[in-house]
Amino acid sequence: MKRIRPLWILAGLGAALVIGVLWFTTARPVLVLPRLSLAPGYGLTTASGDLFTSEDGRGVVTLYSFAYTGCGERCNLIYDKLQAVDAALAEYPALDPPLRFVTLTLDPEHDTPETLAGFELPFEPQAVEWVWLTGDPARMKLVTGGGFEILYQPQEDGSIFFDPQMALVDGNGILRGQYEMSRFSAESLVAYIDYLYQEIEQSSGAAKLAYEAAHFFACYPH
Amino acid sequence: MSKFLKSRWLWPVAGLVIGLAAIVLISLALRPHNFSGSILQSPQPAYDFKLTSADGPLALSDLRGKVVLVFFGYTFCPDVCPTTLQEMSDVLDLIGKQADQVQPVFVSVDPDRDSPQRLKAYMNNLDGRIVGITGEQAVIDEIVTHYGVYYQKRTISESGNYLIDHTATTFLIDPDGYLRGVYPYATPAKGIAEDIRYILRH
Repeated sequence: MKRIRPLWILAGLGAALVIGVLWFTTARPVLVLPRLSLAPGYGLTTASGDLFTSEDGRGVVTLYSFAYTGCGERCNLIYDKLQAVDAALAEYPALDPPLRFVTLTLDPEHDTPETLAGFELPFEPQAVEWVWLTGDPARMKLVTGGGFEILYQPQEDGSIFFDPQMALVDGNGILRGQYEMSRFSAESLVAYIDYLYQEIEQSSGAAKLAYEAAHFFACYPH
Repeated sequence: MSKFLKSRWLWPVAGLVIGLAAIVLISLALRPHNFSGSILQSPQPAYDFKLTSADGPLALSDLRGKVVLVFFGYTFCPDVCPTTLQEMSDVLDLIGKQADQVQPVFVSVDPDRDSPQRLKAYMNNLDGRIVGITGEQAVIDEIVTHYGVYYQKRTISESGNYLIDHTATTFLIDPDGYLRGVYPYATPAKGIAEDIRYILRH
């Protein structure tokens, strides 16, 4: 019988390791959402006049959107997607941690708490809580423009030009995705939320290493 | 023994043992570090800021080359801030010789009461290796927004005394200026120290 040299065994094991890494990065058995940055900190006001802070989002997955009550049909792109996400999540077992929709008004001068209280939501969510927030205009600009980097510009006709986006923030206050509404369907938003909940549920013990490896190798959904 | 040494199984067995040892060592070396806090892979450097210490202006970018631990609080803070600052001090002690590659920074969100001089005296009582900085309220507001920090004054007496409710998170910024770790309040110093050692190694 021919002798097997140790160098060959080592080479074989090394090759197996390389193949394993290549398989992990190409087959991508675990997908994660990137941990992009910190979501902004804030203390704002709800429609009922209560203080609502970024700390209230600890332990809650938050889907942020940016709109204003006078937006009319232009915001249907946002509301339709929120409604579709809510409908999809209603089919899930109770979400743990819970998910919350938070909409930051782009028109805080008009959208006072009283205005927000009188605003009829475009739909009544079934699976999640939906909170609208307003506040001092300079503060709102800091949070929306500076923190979430949403570009918006009041127009002469009183409307507000903006690029509709949503931002997904995990329970640690970390931005996990920011999505332009013109490019992302409600189905893809639900899929991203699903990836986040899979990670939250499964990323413990030995599986945590696989999830950290997925972050390390940037195994992000397309 | 000599019979075994001449055996045709010697090299395969030895090779297998060495190979297995190598694979274990390589796997351990490649194993992702288990961070104590939440880790970030932000493609952009952490939001830079420039505030004032008792020794003059200090920008976050001045500290490139060091691991920076940032905590937002105020010196009149009764419990959370001194506890966290003590943990920062413990982190430096645990890191030992590499502590000179780590700079803890305490950002006061209460510039009305926390002058740079007061901050320095306060830090000297706790651990002089921690730098206290502050600045104009508007500048601080902008900084805290970018760091996901919330704070709010809460008046506790008719004379106007107040406490400040604030986020008690500690931020770890790597030597290249990227935000790498976020630690909730009361994260053990040992875990943060291990994370810093890992970052300094890589």
